[in-house]
Amino acid sequence: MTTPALGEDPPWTLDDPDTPELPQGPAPLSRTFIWTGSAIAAVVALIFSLGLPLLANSATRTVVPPDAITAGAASLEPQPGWTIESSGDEGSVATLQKDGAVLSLRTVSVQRGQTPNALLDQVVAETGMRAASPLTTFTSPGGDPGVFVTASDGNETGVIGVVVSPRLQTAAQVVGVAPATAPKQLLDEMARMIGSVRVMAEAP
Amino acid sequence: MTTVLPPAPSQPELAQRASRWPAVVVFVLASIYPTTVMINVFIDCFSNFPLLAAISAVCWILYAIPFIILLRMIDFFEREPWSAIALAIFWGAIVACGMSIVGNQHITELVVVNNGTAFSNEWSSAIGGPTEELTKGAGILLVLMLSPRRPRTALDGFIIGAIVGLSFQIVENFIYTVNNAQNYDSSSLYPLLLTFFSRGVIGGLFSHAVYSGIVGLGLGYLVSATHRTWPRRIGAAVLGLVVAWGMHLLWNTPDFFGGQWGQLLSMAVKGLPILVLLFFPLRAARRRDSAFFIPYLLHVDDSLVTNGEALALTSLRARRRAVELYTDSRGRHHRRQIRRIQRAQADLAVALSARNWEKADDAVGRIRSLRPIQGIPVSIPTDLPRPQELIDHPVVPTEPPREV
Repeated sequence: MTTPALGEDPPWTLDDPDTPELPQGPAPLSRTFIWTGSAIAAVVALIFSLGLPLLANSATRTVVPPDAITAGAASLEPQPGWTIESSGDEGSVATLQKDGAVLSLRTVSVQRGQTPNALLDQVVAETGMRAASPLTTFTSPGGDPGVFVTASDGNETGVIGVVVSPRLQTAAQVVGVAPATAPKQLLDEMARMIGSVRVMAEAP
Repeated sequence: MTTVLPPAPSQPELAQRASRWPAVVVFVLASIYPTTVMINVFIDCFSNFPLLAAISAVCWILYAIPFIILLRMIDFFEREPWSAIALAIFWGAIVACGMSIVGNQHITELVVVNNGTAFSNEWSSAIGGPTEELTKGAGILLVLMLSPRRPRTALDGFIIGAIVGLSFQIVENFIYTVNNAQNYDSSSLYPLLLTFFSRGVIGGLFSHAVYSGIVGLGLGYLVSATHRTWPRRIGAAVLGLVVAWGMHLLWNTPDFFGGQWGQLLSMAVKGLPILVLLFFPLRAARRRDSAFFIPYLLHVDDSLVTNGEALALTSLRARRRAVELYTDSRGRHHRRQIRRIQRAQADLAVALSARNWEKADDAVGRIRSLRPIQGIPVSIPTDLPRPQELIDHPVVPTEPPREV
């Protein structure tokens, strides 16, 4: 079949006055529409890639969550099921407990240049346990560097972590200890609590 | 013979099409940071659990296939160009996912500092999750503007939206699988089975493909219903986003009932309204889409497409009914051939609507070669009721298009 000329129909089309009118299809998008649509998409991308991180960083850096426990200048958000044995409001150590596991939080001063890894080695040595996993580094909700490790000594197992604020020359130490038979979930909860540690300019 | 088909657009008209470079620039720039986020996520997944990650990736990609087949069946007439589908997959799987990972993390932090950890554990996914509709919606709008073919009806928006959502869902499920492996400290297949059952089998129908499909319906209407007023078009886009947001919020709320059976009951209570909310607008969009193309077939010689055959293409149900009516009398072994005729007829409608004579010629050739079955000319039964939709709305606007 030959291609019909512009404005003509192929020979197999009908000229039937009863058939419905043919749709024209939507009009082309205007320049204004494309600019506006692109701008809206750009705003969404900026909010999620830049706006929310900036907002969250500025809003959460110095704020202690309502249900957090504090020890000196450090705070930590307990996981469900963990009960507060002693609060650090009056002293400098806060303690949580669950199913025979104990987790303590304390604040210490550190020298300028102290790295989280070096401080962690020191804390692990003080507990008498040995590191049983590779180090896991993280950034605290306040934007400070942190590191934690699983440790054990045969009878006990646990998670030990530190968060160092180089700006404030202050660090939070967390030592979680559980019986060697403790379920892994307990250690995961300890790790999550270490991940929630914040170091503030001063005790709230 | 007098002219019954509108003339093909002239070259100057095509040249007037507005430049799309702002959308290209936004698409590229918006992709950079989320892509780096996702590369790091994938590296973590594959380095921590290489075998499980590889098996999971294959499983979740296979999981997407039935959904894609379903979408192709819904989008029967003019299927989306492959380049638009590729852009939609990239945006859903990489860009929207990367943006949402960053966004959700910070939204959770904001919820924690304002409301505490206990509240956050219960509600942060309900608060943060629905914001993903914005990241996916931005991509749907960009893909609709960048598509090499002008979207004709809201159904085009639904298809692009569903593909963005499905790609997002697949990558999210993959990440959840590896997260579960971390939580259970297991590189066995148990985390995959667990995630596949909970997020694939039970939650799969009420997930991102549906939410983004709804967003896409609204945006498709905004882009294609150029004969409607601006408030109506913008209202439809906003409504689609609000409904999808509400669906996502409902799905992510804490379970209404406790216990394992309560969890299943909660899913049913949450999921049914979601499917109902999708069904009616989608059916309307599909009818509009058919109503756009079918009139072109009513202008074609009966040797190619009878009026009954044309009307039988209106919906999946009507197409199946036509196939059954024919094969009941002539034998079921002709099913495939009848389906191929229907496919060629749909392609003919699309080619005529685009004034693409080359493709029309190809479709005509296929119909003619498929017509005689065992020497008997095939005419698909025509005793189907004429869809009310076509009588009430003989289609779209007949006034000449104007730029909007």
